[in-house]
Amino acid sequence: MNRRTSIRYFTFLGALGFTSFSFGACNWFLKESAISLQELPGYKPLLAEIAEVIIPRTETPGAKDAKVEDFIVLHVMDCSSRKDCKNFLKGLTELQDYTLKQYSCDFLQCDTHQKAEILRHFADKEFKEGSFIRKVQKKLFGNSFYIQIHSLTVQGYCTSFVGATEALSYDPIPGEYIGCYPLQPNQKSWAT
Amino acid sequence: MGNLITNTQNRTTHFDAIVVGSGISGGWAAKELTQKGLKTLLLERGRNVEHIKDYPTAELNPWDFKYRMVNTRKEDEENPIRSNCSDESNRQFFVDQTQHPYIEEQPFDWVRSYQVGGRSLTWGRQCYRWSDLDFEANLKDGYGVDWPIRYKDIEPWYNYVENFIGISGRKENLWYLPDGEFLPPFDLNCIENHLAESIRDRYEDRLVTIARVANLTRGWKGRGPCLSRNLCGRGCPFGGYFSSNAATLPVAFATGNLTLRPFSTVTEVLYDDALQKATGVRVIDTLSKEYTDYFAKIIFINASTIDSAAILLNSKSSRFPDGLGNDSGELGHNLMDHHSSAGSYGTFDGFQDTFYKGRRPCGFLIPRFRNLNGGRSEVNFLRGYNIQGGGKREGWADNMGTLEFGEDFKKRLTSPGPWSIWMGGWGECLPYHENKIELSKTEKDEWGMPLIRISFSFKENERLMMEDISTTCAEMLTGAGFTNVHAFNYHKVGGGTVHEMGTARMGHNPLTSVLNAHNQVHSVKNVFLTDGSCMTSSACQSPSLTYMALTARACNFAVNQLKRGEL
Repeated sequence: MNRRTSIRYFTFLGALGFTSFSFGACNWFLKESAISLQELPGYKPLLAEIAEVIIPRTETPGAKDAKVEDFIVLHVMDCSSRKDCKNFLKGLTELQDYTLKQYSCDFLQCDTHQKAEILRHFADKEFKEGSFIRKVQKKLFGNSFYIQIHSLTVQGYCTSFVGATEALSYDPIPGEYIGCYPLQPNQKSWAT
Repeated sequence: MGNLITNTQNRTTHFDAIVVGSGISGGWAAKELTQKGLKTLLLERGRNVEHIKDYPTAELNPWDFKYRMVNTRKEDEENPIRSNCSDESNRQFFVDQTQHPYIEEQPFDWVRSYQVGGRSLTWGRQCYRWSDLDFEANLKDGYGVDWPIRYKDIEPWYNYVENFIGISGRKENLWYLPDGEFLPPFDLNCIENHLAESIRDRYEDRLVTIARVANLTRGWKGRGPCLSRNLCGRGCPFGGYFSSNAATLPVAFATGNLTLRPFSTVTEVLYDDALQKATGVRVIDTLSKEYTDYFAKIIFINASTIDSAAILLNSKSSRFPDGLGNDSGELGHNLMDHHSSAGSYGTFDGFQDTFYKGRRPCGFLIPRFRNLNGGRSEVNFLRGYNIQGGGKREGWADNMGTLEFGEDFKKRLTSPGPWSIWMGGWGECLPYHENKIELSKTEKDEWGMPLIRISFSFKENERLMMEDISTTCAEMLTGAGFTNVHAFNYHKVGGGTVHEMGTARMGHNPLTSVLNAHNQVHSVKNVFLTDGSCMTSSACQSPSLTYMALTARACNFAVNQLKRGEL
């Protein structure tokens, strides 16, 4: 994602003056969804599993270690736009339905390979359109479930204590700025 | 030490000087006047913000914030302008729009900070001198009125304020962007150095230099140094950058001559028809809603461009039925803001073995290069722009919402990505009479003050300039070997750059301007405006440094006049 897209995304998340509705209005709009917004905290175990597929535990902590699911739920409930809320809840239902149909089990019961396959299905669906179409779609319909859970997992992880301090390099008080600094072995990105 | 008034203390209502507003220019007025021995009352409509003590978020980590610095839906809905420029890490320094409504004839993002220190707590800290290219521009092309001053008039005052502020930067010896005495510059990083070399080789008229900023690269006057955290907008516990709170107000307090009264909105300037002078100001206590009149020999209005004009417009008398000092009818008019919407972005393959350390609180600057000979010497618009930008290696935030996930993705997410540069033009806005503020005749705020109505739009000259910025930035990046070069225009509305200027312009002629060459209201000699309202044109440089220099200059003039018994 280039800077502009990411700015636009943040702007979209951050400055929803024109699409934002109160919690009540958001709920009213969503009443036809299988999952209601208030029920979302109950889906934390599922969201944690999906997030772990995106950022698995390796030699450094994974999404579950960072409790990314808490951030995702809080964000969707309190911060996301009306359109995004709707897409998220709808997408979560679709993912469950798809899992059941393909593997005859819950996502939590799938093995690592199956979980990745499922997420791959939704990612491919997302990116089968060209970037222009995706941009228009985003503008009209908001961010898809896949884009949201991917973005929120990354954001929740990289701003968490374990993500920032173990997977990334966190330097709260650098002291000075060194413009050209040789890349160190196993150099990690700066957390902030 | 000076006083801090709470509602019940200190019944004194007579002072030598009154300063309205404690932001970047009001802080300077308070410092200069108190240092010259004047008992000075500093009025601030917002709450007190004490340096260090009132920076509650300054040392928090990302995970300490409930929403990880993302605004809530409720905040976006109720406060769209505040949410655009702040989050939970610095929201406390911006006004709640619901408490301070205004009327927009066209969309205008009026970003306000009502508190002691004002927007000096959250400013961008870029400090550039103007030159005669800027002071002569109106005269040469006929837009607006002529500035009543030239560079030689303000140069000693740039020296004076810069010496106190502490500005890091690099001398470039450009006549149109004069050097100051700088603290050591911040580094350019590898990709910025690469761009600088490419531009030096390809363009005779352009160069890349480090931004000149009020961030202290070494300790200065008991403040700083800046520790390269780049969290300035939360208030700096190290005093690493210039603000009223960290710099001017402590000096003013130390004189023993300063009285600071927060929660004090000035509703009008009191004018005496017989004396033909202002005698003081009327204040409404924003908490108790009680009125108090304060009196002084000289009054500095530094409430910020739009609010300062509104105070004068609301100061009606038989002599000034249309607002204090408004013989010209220009009060409230000629509102300007820089545009900063257009630019380009690109990534670069290479320099993979280099990185940087620390978070520099600034980027680079490409000084103005258009129309240096005046007029439309090379392009289809008047005036010019400078380009600000920054280079970095892409990080985790550039990997949100991508196709990849899993172990390989995690590795990429946490490793430095390709180098990239983002750069955009900060452009001059011409002074248009029809860009203006007025007072509503019917609608009032919670304190009974008429609502401000803002009519502002960028026009053809600004539009043409933005087009040139986008394509020119893209050309420079492409020429330097960048790929994925993408020209953009964010189409920000007026106010978006937070450089409002011009509502009480300086000029030679009382019939066409509000202030004279000393920032003195033409027809009310003991009232001075030295914030952005005084600006006759906008140039393209960030304006705060010029406000500060004009303030120090006007204070010196005012005190000399006072001593001679002329005020």
